[in-house]
Amino acid sequence: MAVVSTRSGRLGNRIAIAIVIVITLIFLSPIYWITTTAFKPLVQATSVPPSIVFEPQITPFVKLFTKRAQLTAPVAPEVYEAAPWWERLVLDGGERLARDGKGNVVFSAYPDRFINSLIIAITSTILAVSLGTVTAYGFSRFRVKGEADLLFFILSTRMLPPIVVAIPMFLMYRAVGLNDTHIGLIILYTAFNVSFAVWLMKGFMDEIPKEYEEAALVDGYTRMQAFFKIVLPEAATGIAATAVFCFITAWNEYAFALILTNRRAQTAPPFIPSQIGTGLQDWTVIAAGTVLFLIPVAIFTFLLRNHLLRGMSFGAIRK
Amino acid sequence: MAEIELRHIDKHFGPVHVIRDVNLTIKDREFVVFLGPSGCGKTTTLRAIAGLEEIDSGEILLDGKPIQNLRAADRDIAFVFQNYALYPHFTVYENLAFPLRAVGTSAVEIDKTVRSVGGSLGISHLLKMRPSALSGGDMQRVAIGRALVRRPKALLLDEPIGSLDAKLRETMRVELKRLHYENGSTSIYVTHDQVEAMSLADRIVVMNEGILQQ
Ligand SMILES: Nc1ncnc2c1ncn2[C@@H]1O[C@H](COP(=O)(O)OP(=O)(O)O)[C@@H](O)[C@H]1O
Ligand SMILES: [Mg+2]
Repeated sequence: MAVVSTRSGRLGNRIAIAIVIVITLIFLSPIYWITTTAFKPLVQATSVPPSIVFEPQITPFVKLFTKRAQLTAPVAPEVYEAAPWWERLVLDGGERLARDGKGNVVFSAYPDRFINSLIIAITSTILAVSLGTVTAYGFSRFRVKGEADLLFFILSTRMLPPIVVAIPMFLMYRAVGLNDTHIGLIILYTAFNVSFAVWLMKGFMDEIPKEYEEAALVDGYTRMQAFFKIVLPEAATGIAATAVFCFITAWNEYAFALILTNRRAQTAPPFIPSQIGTGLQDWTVIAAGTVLFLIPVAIFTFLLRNHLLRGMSFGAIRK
Repeated sequence: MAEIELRHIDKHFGPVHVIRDVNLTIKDREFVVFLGPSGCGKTTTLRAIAGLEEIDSGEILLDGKPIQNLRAADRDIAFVFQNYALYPHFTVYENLAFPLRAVGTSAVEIDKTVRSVGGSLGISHLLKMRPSALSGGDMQRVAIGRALVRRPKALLLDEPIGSLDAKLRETMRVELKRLHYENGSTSIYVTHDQVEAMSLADRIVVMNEGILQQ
């Protein structure tokens, strides 16, 4: 019997692993698609059926970082010879690079928008996670009047779809001069994320036995010191999870960014599709912008993976 | 050097009257055991003395000085929790050093004290480990060590050996008795086990429904 059960157990394991692999592949396929598109020649990017075999090139990335114009006449051979390799890639595609008066290449707005995204997402994540953690601690440890109602109210701020409040937000922001500012989006994303941060962190805080802080209190520390020295390290897992969540939300946010910003504070999500252009639709440039845009989230999640996977170390409390 | 005096202590949790007019004097160096069925208010009384629970009325005196309005940190009373509450992200060494760091003890002094306390409790070989890697008995020793490092005026122990197995409980009782002889700190020990109370106590105080019955 034992043999049979282990065999069926192993078989069950294998089936489970196979299912996990299939699901992983399904989830990864869009990433594969967008990544390959970013390296495809323009004609192959939209061919039907999609081309699997192609000669990878980095022209889309050169195009992503520069401003270009259609060639009206073929370039002179000596100009072509004098151009650096990356400029030739663009010339090969029938376009020329835009240059300023001094002959320097004009960069596209993509790096600026990318940096805007970083500034806004990182700042709002730090704010939302800090506020959420402190608030959750308060709710978890002290008797707060109307606690359930307050918590419900905090969550209820997330119940309207963003697009419903986008227009009123736009009008309000215009009135107070927050339109197209970094601060404006940071405030908005923080407000947006803090409600989930409070809820997530409250769950984690409730899991930390209050005896740890009480031990610190009798060991001669103030509640503030106990919070920083004992509670925060214990809540690291929760903080990491909440930070990843808030960062992804702020990083990917599209609707508000589209409506509330246009130049100075515009983030990458509304910028990338705006590059589709008129006339010819260059999907490879879009794909290149998207691929680079995916990287920060991947890095951030990767850096925090140990915290995310570690789980809480509850060994020191006798259950 | 400490005498604890409780005068007319009262405490409610909402409608529940947990401690009813408790009066008690615990002499310097005395080892008093609170004995009573669970739910009778032993833990609450201990937490009130430590400063983790506010009392509704009455006075708590330590060496004649009222301390009921002081913060737990300022009372100089150590507490061993029922579940030990060792800091999981610290090593045993750091757990023991933590109360000393609160009062700004020098690194050299901390090292000396931690090692000597570790030695007297037989946990010197565990100093680099994390609490989660320890056995129940060792966790208990660390918890007591953490309470003793700063030589508190009084030591409060809340059913510290209640969940160990019988044989280990026997060993720990002997050790606790020895530690009390060596350190001589005024101690209050809470248990619902009569045998434990008999073997440890200089004096047993019986508690029932928040009333001291002696
Ligand atoms: N924080 C609290 N809030 C409300 N009731 C409590 C709280 N702590 C303890 N109690 C109640 O007080 C009574 C005494 O508890 P406790 O002091 O823990 O008893 P013991 O330690 O003797 O078992 C119990 O009825 C318990 O339910
Ligand atoms: Mg108890």
